[in-house]
Amino acid sequence: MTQSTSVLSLQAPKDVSISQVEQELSKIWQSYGENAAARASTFNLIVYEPETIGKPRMASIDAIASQSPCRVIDLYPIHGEDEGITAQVAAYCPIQKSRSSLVCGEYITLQGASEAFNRVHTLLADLVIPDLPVFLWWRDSPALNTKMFERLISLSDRLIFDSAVFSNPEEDLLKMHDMIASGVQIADLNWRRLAPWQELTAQAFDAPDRRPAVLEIDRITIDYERGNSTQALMFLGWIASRLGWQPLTSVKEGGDYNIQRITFKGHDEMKVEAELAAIPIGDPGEVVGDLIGLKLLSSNENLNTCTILCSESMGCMRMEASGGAQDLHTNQVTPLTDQSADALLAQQLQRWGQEVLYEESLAVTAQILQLEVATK
Amino acid sequence: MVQLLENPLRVGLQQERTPEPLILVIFGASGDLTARKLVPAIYHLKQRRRLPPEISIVGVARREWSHDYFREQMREGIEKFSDGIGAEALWDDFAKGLYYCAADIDDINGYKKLDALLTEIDKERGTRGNRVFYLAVAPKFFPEAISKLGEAGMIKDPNKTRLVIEKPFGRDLSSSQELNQVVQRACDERQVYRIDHYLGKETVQNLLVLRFANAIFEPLWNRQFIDHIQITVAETVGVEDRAGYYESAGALRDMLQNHLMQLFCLTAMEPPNVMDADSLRNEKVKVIQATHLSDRDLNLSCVRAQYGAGFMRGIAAPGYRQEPNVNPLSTVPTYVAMKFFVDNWRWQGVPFYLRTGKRMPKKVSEIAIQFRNVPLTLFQSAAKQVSPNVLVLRIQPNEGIALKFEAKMPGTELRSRSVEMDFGYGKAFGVEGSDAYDRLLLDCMLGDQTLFTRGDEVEAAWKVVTPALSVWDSPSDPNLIPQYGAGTWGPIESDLLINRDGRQWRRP
Repeated sequence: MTQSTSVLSLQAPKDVSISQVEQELSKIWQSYGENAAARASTFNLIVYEPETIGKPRMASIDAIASQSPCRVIDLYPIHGEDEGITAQVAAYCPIQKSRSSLVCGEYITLQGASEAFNRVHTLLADLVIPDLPVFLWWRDSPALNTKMFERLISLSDRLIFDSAVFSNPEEDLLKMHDMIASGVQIADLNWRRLAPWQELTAQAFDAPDRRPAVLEIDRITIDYERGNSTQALMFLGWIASRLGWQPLTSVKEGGDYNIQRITFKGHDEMKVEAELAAIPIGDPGEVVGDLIGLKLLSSNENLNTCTILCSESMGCMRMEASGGAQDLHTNQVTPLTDQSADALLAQQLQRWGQEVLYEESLAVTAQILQLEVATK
Repeated sequence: MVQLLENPLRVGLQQERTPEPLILVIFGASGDLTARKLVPAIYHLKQRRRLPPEISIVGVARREWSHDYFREQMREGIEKFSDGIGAEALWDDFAKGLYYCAADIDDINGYKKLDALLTEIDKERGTRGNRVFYLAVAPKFFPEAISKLGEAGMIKDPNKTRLVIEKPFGRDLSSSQELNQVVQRACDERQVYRIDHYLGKETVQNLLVLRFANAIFEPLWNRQFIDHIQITVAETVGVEDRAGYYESAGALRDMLQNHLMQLFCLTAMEPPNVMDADSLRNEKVKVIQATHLSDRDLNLSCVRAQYGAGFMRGIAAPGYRQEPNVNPLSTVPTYVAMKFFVDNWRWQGVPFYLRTGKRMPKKVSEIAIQFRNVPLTLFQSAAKQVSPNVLVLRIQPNEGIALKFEAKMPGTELRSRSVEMDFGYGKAFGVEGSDAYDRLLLDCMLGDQTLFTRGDEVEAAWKVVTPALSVWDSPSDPNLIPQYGAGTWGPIESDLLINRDGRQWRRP
């Protein structure tokens, strides 16, 4: 047995042929017996991990297994010639201090060239435990119109993306919106990264004396790490959907910060201006495209509207530099929890059903992206 | 009254998990609690998008109701006792998940019929065999219902089924032990959620946050700096229409053994290692086990009393023994005050005074932590008295926290006066906290037992009050029960209990 911080592996992963997967898993359980390790599954999780991700495979086992026992089917397409699919099986057990016996889940890894997966995708249905919900974690851009993607979607109850890894953020967000419109249940881990920003933005207007000011916001500036605009666009979609703003125009100015300006029709026909700025960052860390600053203003100077949120790493200088700092409501966004995809996945696997707020926000984001874009 | 605008940025914003699809089965569905509290709480959670769309509720009671009639009753309940239905479409969606099953609580066939209905709902609504069984029935039916659920195999899966039991958990130590044995025979402790709705209150939970999320209080939270602690839960109401229950319970069973003991535990316990159910409850149990009445002589450590006739806000109010359905020679206490000591390093020698009563001048629940006096008085107080610092945690009304301290009075002389730093929930957050049942039902559906009472904790709490219970339950001369006028802060004996130590009750 090998042991990580919170997960115990019953044996080293074993190479088998696809047809022997079930048989080999049964052997593992028989060799341990019910008392030492109980086999349990509360859902299926299919993980599609293209080679380009570059992270150590199985890195998410802790995150997945420590939540609930489940069957994980890890699909790992690699570059190279089609030499068929190789399979590995293993069993992992989250260690719970309150139990003496282990409750364990199963991990099946399939590796092969993309062409090979296209050939055998129909076999995947046989590896899924029937009558249990199926999550699909697609660790890539949506690959609409590919056999593999379509087949996996038809197998799944819920599709999980991380839009931080999208190669064409704007195009891919629109694809997500289209899939939701066609009835696919989608979760985006990158949307979860916005939670501290959303919470602190909402908090800024919780106090009764600031409450009326929220409807008077008519300027919003969002700074994000250059490289992926999905967080910035989803945040703008969120705030616009909450405040009832309708997108009108979009202009891309470019420049050092790749400025994009969007106008909306807001509350009482008010004109609202949004500025998205992609800030070049030396080391963006594991996730590219994190928000780094937010400023909300109103041209109604009688209201105490001005709010600035800034990331701990970047500070508030750019946001404060444009003046009006006297009456600022300033806050630093410091997520308490790790924002890595693994940690977010663990939370996501505990969520079931439709995410209405996400869908409503993405709908407005899609409207923004569908505007005819002018360039300066 | 000016209505506060809703913060639109809050709508739909949730940091928390949503429960898995499940069926909430309510035994006692035709009763008051279901229509008044439980279903409105679930509907409120639905309105706040905290529940999955598959959520279903099955009402169980003896009466022969149809699904539609049950839906009508629940709608009326939400309209009458909550914020109303709101969007009709939302109600329609919610109502589709409401079902009713007529069954006798003591008839195994009823459970089989219920089980068949639940299986059918699993298929129809995708609830995947997850169940929460809520016993909203009179306590005398708890053992029967739990045994029958066990016998029918309906709570055998510890991962998918949960059992919610309303207080009271027994009426003394031995009956609570018997009830716990029934529970243990039928299911695991990790499936059991004993509800004390006091723990669902925001301000009670804030006590944990105040103590363990701030670095400034904990160093002072011990015998070195604290002189004594007073916990008060005062009600203005009398026995009202609950005489039948109250005559067999009294203030000790109805309030002190559960609600006040919970406040006491959260105030006195050690920090848990992590904020999970078992860590927190282990600490609560440890502190109760170290707690005892301050003196074996009950005359020196506790007081019981009954309200007599008096005036509430200028209107004449009858005494307890004159209330409808109350025995005119009743000895049941409507007021209890107790003095406890905690034998551990933190609290050795610090008295905890707990009091609760009906027909008091104000409805108030608070914890007052009175700190020791300064070692040497350098400044003359304007009021010419010692004014120790007091930290008051107001549970209700005006939920908040106040710290009383001394400040210099303006002027040329160096005189001090007591002032208050006051934090009010409403002022800071602009919203009312969620209802206790909302929170507790959601926690139960999420499988989080942190705010629920564990079996050993219940027994330990009964043990602490057993010396008083065993004496007070035995027949006594009604003339010897102290009386206090309705609309006053309790009997003179209660003042003596604390005055004897050179201290006095706060006037909240």
